[in-house]
This record gives sequence, structure tokens and C-alpha cells, in this order.
Amino acid sequence: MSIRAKLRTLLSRNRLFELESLFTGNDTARTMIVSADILAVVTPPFSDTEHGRRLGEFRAWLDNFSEGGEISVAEDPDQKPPDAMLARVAPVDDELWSVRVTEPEDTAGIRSLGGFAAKDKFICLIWDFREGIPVFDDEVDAAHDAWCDLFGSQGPMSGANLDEYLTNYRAV
Amino acid sequence: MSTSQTTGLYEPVRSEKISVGTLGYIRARHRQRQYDIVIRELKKSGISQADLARRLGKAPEVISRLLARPGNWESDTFSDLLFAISGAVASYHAEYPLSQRVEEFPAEQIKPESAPIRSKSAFSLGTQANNDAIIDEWKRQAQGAPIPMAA
Repeated sequence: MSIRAKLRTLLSRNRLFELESLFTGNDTARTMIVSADILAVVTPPFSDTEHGRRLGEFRAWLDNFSEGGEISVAEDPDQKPPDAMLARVAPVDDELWSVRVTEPEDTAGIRSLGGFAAKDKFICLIWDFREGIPVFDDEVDAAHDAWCDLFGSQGPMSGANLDEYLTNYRAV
Repeated sequence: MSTSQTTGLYEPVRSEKISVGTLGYIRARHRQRQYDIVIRELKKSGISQADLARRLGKAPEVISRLLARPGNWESDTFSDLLFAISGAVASYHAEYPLSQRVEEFPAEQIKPESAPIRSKSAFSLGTQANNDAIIDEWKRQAQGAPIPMAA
């Protein structure tokens, strides 16, 4: 079964969710798909707390992706600028990427891991506050397991270059 | 297909405090829009980061850092970047995306204490007393009260 067919099944069974932009609905240039865990935390109202502020930032990142906003992307996990918005994680062959929410600047931010189902179609599987990830490799393993649980042996989309993954990006 | 519900983000109402979470979302969107404009101008212009740094009298690493993500730029920084890249200046206008989308909310999901503004034009043209009456009516509807027939 193709990744597209599997994704359709997972969406119909409420194991994954297509995230509408809070401002533009499903009229979007790209598609963001999230797990139930992520949907739960990025669905407003956002609380009047520091956590609420950080989750509001997280949702804005996801909506910016959907709406086709410019995204700075680091392709090399070992040469990653600290401010990249999206970064490939090692091992590269696993095709997993880290969504990097680096604001508010006075916090450690949020990381969410997932992979591309197709060009401009990203699936966020797991997330955590950055300070809650003491060993990043463990988070990558968890994302890998989550992907396998959903898609079996069908890995994320693999592209020859960034143009095959998304539009409106800026390599950093 | 499972599609997430678009609920829970409302325009400000009266003196109700806006949560820092909501402000965080709105601020991030604003930063991202500024970033989009600057990066698109940069791509269109073809200017190198090194030249941009020289035009602004900044170190290349400062420019590199600024352009790496939608940071919390000062207004002057945004203005400087845009002008230095292509001689552009930003133009501004206000939008009301939440009032445009509110018709899609099921009534039971509208918080009575933060009833959204359903029609910006109808609202803004009214007097304060009329607007208060409109808000009260929305709250009644959100609470499931019968909608009175028009006279």
C-alpha cells in the first residue's frame, strides 16, 4: 500500500488529523498532519500561562507551514544553525525531521518530530518542550517507533534535494 | 478525513483579558509575516547576504542570524532589512480573520463569556448601546436561548 493510501486510512480512523489553519482553514498551500497528542495541545484556547504562550507559538509554526510561509531548513544534522526552523535529524536515512520552535527566546522552545508524506505534506508525530528532551537520540527513536506503528515498513518520503520536499524554503 | 476543528480563538471582547497563549500565537504569526516579506524580497532581489551586511554596516554573522528565523525583530530592524534589500518599505493594513471564520463555529462551541464578533461591518457601524445589545444577543444564542423573531 502506498504512503498516500495508508495516510488516507489513518485519517479516516482518527489516528492522524489534518490540521486546519486557525486563520485560513483548509485553504492552504501546504498540508500539516498531526497526531492526536499534538492536536490536543495546539488546539485553542491557549492558556494564560507560560506553557500556553509556548503552545501558541507551536501552533503558529504549524499554521505558518500550512499557509506556505517561508521556512529556514537545515539539511545536514551535523551542520545545523541554532535558529533553523526545520532540520533533518540523524540518521538521515530514516527521513525524520525536527520542527524547531525557537521562540519565545527566553525559553528552550519546542521540538516536534515527523516526516514528509509528500512534497509540502508533513506529518508531526511527537512533540515536547526542548528542556524535556535530555537525550535527543531517544526522541528520534520515539519518532521512528511512532512512524513504524502507523506506517509499518513504509518510511517517510525521501527526496534527492530540498526542492523535492517543500516550496518556499530557505536552506541555512 | 479527519480534520481538526477550528475553535477556541476569539477576537477580544470588552474588558476580557486576552491569554498570553493567544497573544503568543498572534505575535508569532506577525513575526512570520514579516519574515516572509523579507525573505521573499531577498530572493527576488538576488542580493547576497554579504552585500546586505555591507549595506547595513553590520557583520555578516549578524545578518545571517537575523535571516535564519522569524525572530522578534525591532520595528526598525524590519524596516532596515526591507529597505536595504530592495529599497522596499512595508505597507500595512488590518485584517479580521477571526470574525471572517466565526460563522463556521457551532453555537455550542462559542464561549458565552467571549462571544466573537460575527459581523465586523454591522458591529462597527453601530452605536455603543447597539453593539452591547448585539453582544448580549450573541451570548444568548451561544447559551442556547431561542433567537427572537425580528419585528
